[in-house]
Amino acid sequence: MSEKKTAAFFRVEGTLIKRGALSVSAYFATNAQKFSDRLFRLGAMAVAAPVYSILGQSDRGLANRMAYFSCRHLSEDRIFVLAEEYYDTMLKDSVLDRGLELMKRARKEGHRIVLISETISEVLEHLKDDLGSYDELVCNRLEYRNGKATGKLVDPVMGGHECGRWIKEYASKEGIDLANSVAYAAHGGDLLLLASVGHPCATNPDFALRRAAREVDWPVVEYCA
Amino acid sequence: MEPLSIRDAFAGRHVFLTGASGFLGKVWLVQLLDLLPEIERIYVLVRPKSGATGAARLADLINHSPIFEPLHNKHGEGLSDYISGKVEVVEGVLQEANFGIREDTLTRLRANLDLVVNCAGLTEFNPDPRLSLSTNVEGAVNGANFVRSCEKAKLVHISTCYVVGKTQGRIKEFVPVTVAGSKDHYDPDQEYEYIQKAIADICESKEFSEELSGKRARIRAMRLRRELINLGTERAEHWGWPNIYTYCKAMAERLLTKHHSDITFTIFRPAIVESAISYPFPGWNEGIDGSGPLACLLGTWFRDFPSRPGNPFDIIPVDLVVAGMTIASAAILKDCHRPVYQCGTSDLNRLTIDRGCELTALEHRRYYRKNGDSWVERFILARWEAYSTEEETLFGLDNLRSLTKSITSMLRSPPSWLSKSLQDKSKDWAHKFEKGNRKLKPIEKMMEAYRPFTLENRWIFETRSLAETPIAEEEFRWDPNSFCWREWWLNTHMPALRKWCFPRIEGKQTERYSPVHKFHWTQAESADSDLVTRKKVG
Repeated sequence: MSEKKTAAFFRVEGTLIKRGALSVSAYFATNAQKFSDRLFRLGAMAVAAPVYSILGQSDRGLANRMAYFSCRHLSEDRIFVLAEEYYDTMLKDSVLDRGLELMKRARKEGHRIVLISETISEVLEHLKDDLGSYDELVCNRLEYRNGKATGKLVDPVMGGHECGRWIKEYASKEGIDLANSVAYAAHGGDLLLLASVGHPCATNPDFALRRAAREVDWPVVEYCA
Repeated sequence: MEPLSIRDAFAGRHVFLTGASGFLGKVWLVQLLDLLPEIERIYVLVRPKSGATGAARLADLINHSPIFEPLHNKHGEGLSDYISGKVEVVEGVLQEANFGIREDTLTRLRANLDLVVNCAGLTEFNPDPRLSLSTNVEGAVNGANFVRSCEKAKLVHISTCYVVGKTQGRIKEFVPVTVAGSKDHYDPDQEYEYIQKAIADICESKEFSEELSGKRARIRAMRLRRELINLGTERAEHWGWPNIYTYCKAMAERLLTKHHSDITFTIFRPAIVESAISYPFPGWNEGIDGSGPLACLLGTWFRDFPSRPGNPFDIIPVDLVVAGMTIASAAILKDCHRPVYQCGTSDLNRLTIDRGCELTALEHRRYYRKNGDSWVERFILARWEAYSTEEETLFGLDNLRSLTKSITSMLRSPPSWLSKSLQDKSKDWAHKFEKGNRKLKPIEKMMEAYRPFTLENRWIFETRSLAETPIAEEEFRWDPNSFCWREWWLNTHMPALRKWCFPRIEGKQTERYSPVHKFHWTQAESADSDLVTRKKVG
C-alpha cells in the first residue's frame, strides 16, 4: 500500500503577511470613484471595524463577508486597479520572512504546501510571486454582476470555521493524511482548521488563539513585530 | 457560404489608394505591403505639397513614421526594392476631376485598376465647410467618377458610422438616400446646391478688399471662416447630424448611392478609430479627433464628464478596422460584397461611456501615482477622479464658470479699507482667475462638440456584414471579441495616447522614427513624380 500524502496548511494572514481582509476592504472603500461615495463607505467601515474585531474572534467568515460588503457596486475595473495599487503600497513590504522560512521547511519535510487566504483573489494575484513555491492557493472571491461587485463573497468563504470544513473535504479529495499534516494559523477563528490536523501551530496568535493554544498545549511561534 | 480567401481575392490585383498619409490609410497600406505580397501593384495618390513631390512625401513617411518600423525591420536594406516594386506614387488632388492625374498615367490606370479605395477624408468635427465639402463630398464623387471611367475597377468608399445622425438604437447597414439624420425627407442634391450657394453668398458679402493687408486681412479671413463654420453647423443641426464632418460624409454616401448605382461600390463605415491592439504594433495611434482630447481632459482637475451612463461608446482599435477594410475589399473583388459594412464594437463587444470614463480615470490615477511631478499630482490629482454624469453637479462647467466669474469680480474691486498692497494683490489674483476662466472656454467648446456622442444619442451599430463573412485565412479574420477592454485601455490605449496623441494636443512634437537603412525609390516608374515637374497644387 502506498504511503498517504501529507500537507502543510498556512493561513496567509498572520502567518505570511501582516494585513487581513479589513485592511483590503478599507482601502477599496476609501478609493471609490466619487468623493461622496468614499466618505459614505469610510463611515460604514468605521462603524464596522469594532464589530469586525469582536466578530472575528468567533466567526471570522461572517466578519469577512461584512468587510467585503464595502466593495458593493465597485466596478471590476476599479477593483482590478486598486488591487494592484494595494499590493504596491500596503502588501509588498509586509511579507513575513519567517513565515516563508516555515514554508520552506515544510516543503523540505515533504509536505504539500496549501495556502489559505481570506484576501480576495484580485489582490493575491499580485502577491503570488512573493509567496514563493506552493502547491495550492485558495482564497476569497468577490461575486460580480454586470461588471460590478455585488458585495458578496462566492462560497466557500475562507477565514474562520469554513477553513476547517474545507481542509477536511480537500484532504479526502486529494488523499491527504491529516493526522500527519501541519497547520499554521494566527486567529481565534482558525481553531477548527488547527484542530483538524495532527500538528497544529499557532503563529503570532491573537488573544483567543493564544488562550486556546495554551489550554490544549499547541506550540506557539511568534515573529510578527 | 464558402469562406472568402483574402489572398486569393487580392492575388495579381492592382489597387489604388487615396488618403494613404492619414491614420487609417497608412495602417492599411502597411498591412497590404506586409501581409499581402500577392498584390500586383498598389497605386498611392499623393498630393505634392510645399515644394515636395508626391514620391518625396511618401518616402519621407516611410522613413520617419513609426508605423513603417515593422516593415523596415522585416526587409532591412531590401525594403527600397520591395516597396519600389510594389508601390507607384500617383500625384494628384482629391478635389479635381480624375484626381487631376496626368493623362498618360490615367490611361494606364484605367486599363489596369481592379480596386479603388477612397480613404481620404477630413475628420475634424467642425472645419471650414468649404474644406470639408471639397474633401469629403467632392472627393467621394470624384472617386466614383474615376471608377466609372476605369475598365473594371470597383470602389470601396470609407465613410463613418456617425452618418446615422439622430436615429437612435440599433443602426442597420444601409444608406437611407432620401432620409436625413433627423428622419426628415432629404434630397442630397438640393442640400449640396443650397450649401454651395450659401457659402458663395457669404464669401461674396465678405469679399476682401485689395487695400486690406496684414493683420486686418487675417482678421477678415478669420471672421469669414467663423461665419462659414456657423453656417455648416447650422445646416448639420438642421438635418440632424452632430457636426459638419458627419453632415458631409452623410451627403457623400447619399450622393454615391443616388447617382452611382451603375458602378460596383461598397461603403465602409468605421466608428471611432483608436490605438492598435497588436498590428502593426501594440498602441499605434495617430488620431486626435477620437477619444484623445477627452482622455486628456479627464486627466486634469475637470471631474464631471457630461455623458449618459450605459450609452455605448463605439471605439474600435485600428487593426480591427483595417481587417474589416481588407474583408470588404476582398469581398468586392470577388463580387460577394454587401452594400454597407459597419465596423464598430457596440454590437458585439460593447464598451459603455461610463466604463470608458472610469478606465480613463483609473489609468490617470495609476500614472500620476507613479509619475506625478509634485506631491499635489501624486496624492491629490491622482485621486481626483473624473466620472460620468448626466446632471449638472457641483464641479460642473457652468458652476465653475460662475464661481470663477464671481470671484474675479470680487477681487477686481476690493474693499477700500484694505491696504494698498493688499488691493494690488487682489487685482493680481483677479487677473489669474480671469485667465482660468478663459481656459474654460475651449473645454466648453470641446464638451459641446462631443455631447452628441457621449450624452445625446444612443447608437448601436450593427456589424453583421463583417461578422457574417467567413474568412479562410485566420490572420485576416475580424473578431471584435478578440480583446479585453480593461487590458487594452489600461495597458495599450492610454499609454499610446500619452505617447502619440497628448503631445500633439499640447502642440508638441511626437517621436519620429529613423531607420538604419533609409528607404529610397529604386525604380523610376514608382516615383515618376520625382522626374516630372508638375504644377504645384494647393
